[in-house]
Amino acid sequence: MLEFWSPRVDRSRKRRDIPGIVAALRSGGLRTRRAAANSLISVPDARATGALVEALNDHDVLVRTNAALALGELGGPQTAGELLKARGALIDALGDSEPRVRAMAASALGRSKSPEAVEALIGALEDEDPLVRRTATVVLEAYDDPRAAEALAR
Amino acid sequence: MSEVTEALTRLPLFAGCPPGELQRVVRYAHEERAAAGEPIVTQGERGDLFFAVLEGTVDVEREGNVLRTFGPGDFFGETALIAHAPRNASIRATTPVRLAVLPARDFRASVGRFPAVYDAVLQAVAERI
Repeated sequence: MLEFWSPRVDRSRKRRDIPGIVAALRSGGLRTRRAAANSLISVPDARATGALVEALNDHDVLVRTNAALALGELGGPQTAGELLKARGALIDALGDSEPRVRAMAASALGRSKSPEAVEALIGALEDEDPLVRRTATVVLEAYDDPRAAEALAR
Repeated sequence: MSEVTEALTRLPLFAGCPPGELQRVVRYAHEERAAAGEPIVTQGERGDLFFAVLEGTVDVEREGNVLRTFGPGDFFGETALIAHAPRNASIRATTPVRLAVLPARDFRASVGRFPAVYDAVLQAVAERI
């Protein structure tokens, strides 16, 4: 799909050049930013956390969608501050204007099973869009948290 | 393009995705085979793989009861992709079966490029409840 075509990102990805991908995400054109965010799903790296959080405010819905997915992949040697920043940004993204971004943010939060996200995910059960509501349902069903169970039983 | 990747591009789930581009994100898919009666997925286990049936049939079992049978073109393992949830059912081959197996991360990368794939997966989740 040409919307994601970027030789610059392809080169960086093949070299596992995370700073290169981050730079592309921050300063590239539309297709480059999309490709950079998408590539960070496959090659997640904590060094990209800040740029991915910023990308959740990109004007392009596909950049935001892929940034949310990529934030959901992060793990490993992240600092507590980075983790908090990522989770906070994903919780904020549950209020994005685009349903697809909200759904991907819910899915990303579900992979972390963060207790801090439960209330926001319960709120997503009332989202106006069925894609978001269904995602929140699947995510909360996987939570080991009485608040989730109670909300799903309502 | 590998045989299994080509098979994935023909699945209804990925209908509408340009094969050449889809191949870029599902390139780590591989093929698994199972004999009749062999367990493929066990309820309660955590998994990070997505499966599509290429040939043969499998039973979906929960608490020992058969809920449905999947055949070529059907897929399973989707809730693990969305929420990293434990498998909510067991899957057992009922005939010799060929499966395309895709790491969850690759699947999510394909969702990022082709958002309609996610819609199709969630639709299946809703229908299976």
